Amino acid sequence: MMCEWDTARFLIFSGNGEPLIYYSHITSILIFAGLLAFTFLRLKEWPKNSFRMIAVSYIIWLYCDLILWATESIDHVMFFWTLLDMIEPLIFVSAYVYFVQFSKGMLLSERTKWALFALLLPALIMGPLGLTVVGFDFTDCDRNAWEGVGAYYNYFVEALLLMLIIVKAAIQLFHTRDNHERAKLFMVSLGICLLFVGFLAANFLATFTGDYVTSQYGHVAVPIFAAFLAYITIKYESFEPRILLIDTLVVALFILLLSLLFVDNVNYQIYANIVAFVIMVPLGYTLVTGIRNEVRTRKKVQQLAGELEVVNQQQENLLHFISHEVKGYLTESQAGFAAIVEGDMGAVSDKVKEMSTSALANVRKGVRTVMEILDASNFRKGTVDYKKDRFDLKETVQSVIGHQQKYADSKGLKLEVSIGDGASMIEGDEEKVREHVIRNLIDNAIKYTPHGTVKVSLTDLPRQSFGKAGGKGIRFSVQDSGVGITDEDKKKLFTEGGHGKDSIKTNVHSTGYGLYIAKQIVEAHGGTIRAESDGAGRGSRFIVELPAST
Amino acid sequence: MPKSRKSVFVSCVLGAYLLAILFTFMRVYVYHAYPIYYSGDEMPNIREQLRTLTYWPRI
Repeated sequence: MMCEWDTARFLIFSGNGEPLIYYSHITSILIFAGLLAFTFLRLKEWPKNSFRMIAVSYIIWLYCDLILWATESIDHVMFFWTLLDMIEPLIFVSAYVYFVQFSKGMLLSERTKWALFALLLPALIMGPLGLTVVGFDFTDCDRNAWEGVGAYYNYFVEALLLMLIIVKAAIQLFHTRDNHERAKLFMVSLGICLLFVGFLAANFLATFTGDYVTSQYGHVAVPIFAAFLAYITIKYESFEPRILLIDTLVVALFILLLSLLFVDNVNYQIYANIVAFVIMVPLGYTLVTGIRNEVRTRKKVQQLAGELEVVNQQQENLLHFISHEVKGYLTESQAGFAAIVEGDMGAVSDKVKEMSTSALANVRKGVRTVMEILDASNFRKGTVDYKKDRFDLKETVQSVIGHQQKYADSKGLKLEVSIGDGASMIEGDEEKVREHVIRNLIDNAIKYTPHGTVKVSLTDLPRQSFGKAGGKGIRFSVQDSGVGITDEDKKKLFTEGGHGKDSIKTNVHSTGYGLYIAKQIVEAHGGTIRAESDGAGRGSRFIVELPAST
Repeated sequence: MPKSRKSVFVSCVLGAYLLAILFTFMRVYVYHAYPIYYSGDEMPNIREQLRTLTYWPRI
């Protein structure tokens, strides 16, 4: 018999096969290869080697099948057809393993693995013996092989594994009460069943009908189901499914559009468009739905953020109002108690005087606390006015030391002061620097030091060592041997309400706004503030650097 | 499954496939041990297929 067959180049390129064959096979190979690459590059620690096994074995299968369509060599037909029939059960065994691994979330037992291997063995024995592909069919010029008992065995294995999956899935679905688990199991079982059906439709039917061309549509469906499987797996294993979906869609579009360039027959272009449509509809729909949901969620988040901002503002205003009112009452009480203590109200008994002194001290603390909250609120709103006077920081420090000395003595602490002879003039708001920076830092040092020493020092920094412009600066530092600061606490030390973890144990009245305000003021003066500590219980050092006034 | 047992299993599967491919290669390319049917009547049914074993080896 004389048949006119083209000679194949690289085994797979010839005029013997229909263009649809290249379209279905190469598209499938590329999609599977893309999925495989994705699992290796993006999901390195992914434990689903069985999914990779499906992809690898299917790619080999498709390549062998492509050779069968293209080749003119009878030997090639016999060899690659046999090879194809040996790889085919491996695809299904891998799919079964994948199902078990995914649905039960466990590896297969050793016995099951060997049982599956035993299931593969007849195909591997019958192949070389010529019982899978019995002989070459030369009754026409279609380059077909006559399949034997080995090929039927493959169908038996495929049907058996499909039945096993259906039965196992049905039993598990019946016993699973958790809706999430049920959905996961259902989707994976469905995906694998579709993969089986897609493959079987492409081969099983062709074997019996002899129409191998039309059956090739089934191969295009298989990678779609595989992509669906990968998507489900990733969805239920907390990877980012949308990224995978976009990747898949873009790659699929690229391949489909590229492959259309090589389809010259109008009828095949229609087929190709149908295939493209089938791929794009589920992927596109899922993607559009996902993006729509995301946009809806984002709008909702923005709306909630707006509402939250309004509520925050209302709370801020309320806090400001309350603080302001409380401050007014406290100030009045402070004046009243001060008048009693200082004798403006005439002679009072010692008991009343003692009580008034204690009350005055408490009211002052109250005023200070309320002032801190009010100041923090003003800093946050940016409604703080600064005076711009030239003043001597040395005098400011000394005046604060004068007041704090008594406090340190009352706690039995040694207060060491070291003030250098260098420049100490700065420009800014003296009252704010004194109260919120100098007094605050010394007060904190005494407060958080149960025993030991507090060292206060003021030195001038050498010229060209301060700031970006390299001007002259002044360094004020307070070092103590107190509770210290952990690295974790350092991060929130200068934030609003940023207490140290253990500081609250030492000072229960701390508002947590003191250092936040100090930082705002120092920075408003063009300076820096930082804290150093070797850790909890090892003391701390606060350093303020301000630009000197020339 | 311990790693050593796993590698035994993987080696067995790979070995079985390699042997099967090697024998198929020899049957087809070295011995050409397969029949060519020019008519549908020649094609064997399942029972007759065992006959094809006699083609191996055919030099």
